Amino acid sequence: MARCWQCDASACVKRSKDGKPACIVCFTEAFEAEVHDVIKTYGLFGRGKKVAVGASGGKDSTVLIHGYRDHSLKAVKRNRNDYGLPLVIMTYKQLYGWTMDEIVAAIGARNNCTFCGVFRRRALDRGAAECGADIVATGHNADDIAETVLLNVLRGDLARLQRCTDIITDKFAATTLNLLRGIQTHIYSWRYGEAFLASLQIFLKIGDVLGSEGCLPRAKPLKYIFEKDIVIKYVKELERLQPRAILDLIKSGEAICARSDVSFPKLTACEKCGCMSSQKLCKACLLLQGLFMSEYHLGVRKSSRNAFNVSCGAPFPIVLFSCFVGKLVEMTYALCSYVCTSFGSFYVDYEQLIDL
Amino acid sequence: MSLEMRRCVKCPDMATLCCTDAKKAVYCRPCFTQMVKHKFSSSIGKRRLYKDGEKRETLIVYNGTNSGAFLLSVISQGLRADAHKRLTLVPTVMVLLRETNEGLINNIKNEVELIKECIPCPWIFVHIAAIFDNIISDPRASSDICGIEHTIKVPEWTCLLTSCSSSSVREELEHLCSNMLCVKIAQKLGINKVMLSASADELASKTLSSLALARGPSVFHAANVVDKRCGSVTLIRPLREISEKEIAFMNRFEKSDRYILNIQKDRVKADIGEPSLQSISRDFISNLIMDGFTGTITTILGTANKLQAPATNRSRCMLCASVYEGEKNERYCFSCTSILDEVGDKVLLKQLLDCICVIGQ
Repeated sequence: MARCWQCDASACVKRSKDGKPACIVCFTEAFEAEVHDVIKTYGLFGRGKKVAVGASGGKDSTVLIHGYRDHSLKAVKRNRNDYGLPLVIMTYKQLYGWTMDEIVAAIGARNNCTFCGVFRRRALDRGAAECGADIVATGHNADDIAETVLLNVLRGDLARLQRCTDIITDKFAATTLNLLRGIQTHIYSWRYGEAFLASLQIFLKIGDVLGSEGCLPRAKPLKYIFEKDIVIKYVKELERLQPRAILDLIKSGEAICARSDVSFPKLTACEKCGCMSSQKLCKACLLLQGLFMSEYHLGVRKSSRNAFNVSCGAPFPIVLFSCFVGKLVEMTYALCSYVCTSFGSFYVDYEQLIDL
Repeated sequence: MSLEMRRCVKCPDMATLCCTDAKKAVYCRPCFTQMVKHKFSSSIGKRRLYKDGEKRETLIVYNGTNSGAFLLSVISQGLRADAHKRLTLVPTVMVLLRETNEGLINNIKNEVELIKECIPCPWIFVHIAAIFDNIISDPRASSDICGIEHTIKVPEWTCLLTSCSSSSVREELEHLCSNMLCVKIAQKLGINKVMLSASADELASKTLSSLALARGPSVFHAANVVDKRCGSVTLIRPLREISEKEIAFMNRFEKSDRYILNIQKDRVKADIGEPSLQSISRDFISNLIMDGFTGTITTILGTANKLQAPATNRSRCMLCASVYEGEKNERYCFSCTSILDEVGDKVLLKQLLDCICVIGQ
């Protein structure tokens, strides 16, 4: 049995970053210290800033499994209860007039991940605006960014390759943070005498995620997902050979830029909704116009039925705030918002609005 | 559809050959041969490497591989007096040896003696251990192998490789040292052009493994036809647009597969069976191509062609000659520093780095 690299207790996990054995207490402390370092280094959070965290309830979402979303929603609600954060649930029907099931019924099984991804990103933006949040934090971790770098190289997408490693994306209504960008959130546990890859949340019982109550099969309807699986396997192999390779990939992505003779589309505002776009219409508006097969209206209703619970409390000390944020961002795609004296969160789902 | 139903895109004959993608252009055998040779010629002519009064002396690095054999063959044919559009370079062939076993080295040398007549020019033999030599005598003055006969450096090289912590570090170190050695020999001979035999497949996999080693900013130079990072010496990769599949066909058609040497894949015993970043990158790309993504290599090389380092700090790494951002007292880039940290034998490493520093002067 290996000993912890910090306190000589018996180790039960191995850190992905450097392969050192660690016990749960030291691992958690080191992990939270890493997240805290990222926040301080990039000056991400300021006092008085409102932070929204996007929560999906699990590692993956797919529109083809109906039950998946209900389980995800239950997990998000349990997280809300555990952390005492306000939860806002927004639906595609509410924002776009279509549920994902209706979209799939209309367009078939092809390209629905495109609709889902584009609409979800817009939904996060809208949700942040509705909560009054200044920042949206997403749960992209080091593996996600490394995979994105490789995918953009394999697809020859130079514009995205330039910006996919940015920790801050400030061209949306609210600044978007990739807090876990340089941190690897999966671990190896010694089980059955060999290293066994496990999800961080499952192993440490931090938060409540979908995987903790059993695995759901992943649907792979699209070629893009097929490509992503191949890249994921390659990234896992790189990491097994050399744990630092993931961070080196990200470092490569950070350090490159396009040569001066390469032309890029010019960023302007969408004619319909005013969001960032390189065309007259942004992607979401274009998709919606196609769905309705008529002229698109920005008819998103700001219904008073939106649920927004605010829990009030005394201001946190700074050190406690930092530690708390460290735990907070461990939730994959968790969504919440923070004011000096209150927290809130919202969850984007495809079902009808549910009153809280 | 079957290839036999289609016609050559260049002439009315039936098509029998294609490049990586069977849905794109198809060729008959003579047109295929002509197309591949044209890719070689245009990669040189497009950059005007031997025009406008440029020096024509070129060091051709030959390592006995599939692409090395093809390079010998295409240069040999291009230099013939009756060739259409003659190659106007003055070659010196450098046989780069990496074997650590003396018997194997002698076998390879004997094999090379049999194929020397394909290009009538000076042939020199250089072992990669010559990187440890501070003073290299003129290789053309004798038929001895640099790094072996005059000074026994092979055991030091073997010891250095064995002390690497993984096969990834070993392969990367070998790659860096062979590049530096080519530059070193070229400077010694007063030659300012070095021609390497890297094919498109090799460069694409090199690009991916470079990204995984934090070498993103330098993939442009590492994967392009012309590489001018090493001061007065220019590295040329004329086979950049030609895939291993095309090279294999050409070697068979032109009977140049007799130039392929029986080189050993794994030169240090610790290598056997152990995968490396470089080997899984190669497997990754070949699996993608076999799964039907035939444009993988061209896409990766096309992307690498458009990348560069931001124009901020302009330090140059002593080991890989790439531009990097670093403090004044740092002589190596982040990636090379990581590689060097993984080499266990610090005495030999310092000796190696001291020899390499001489090159920069």
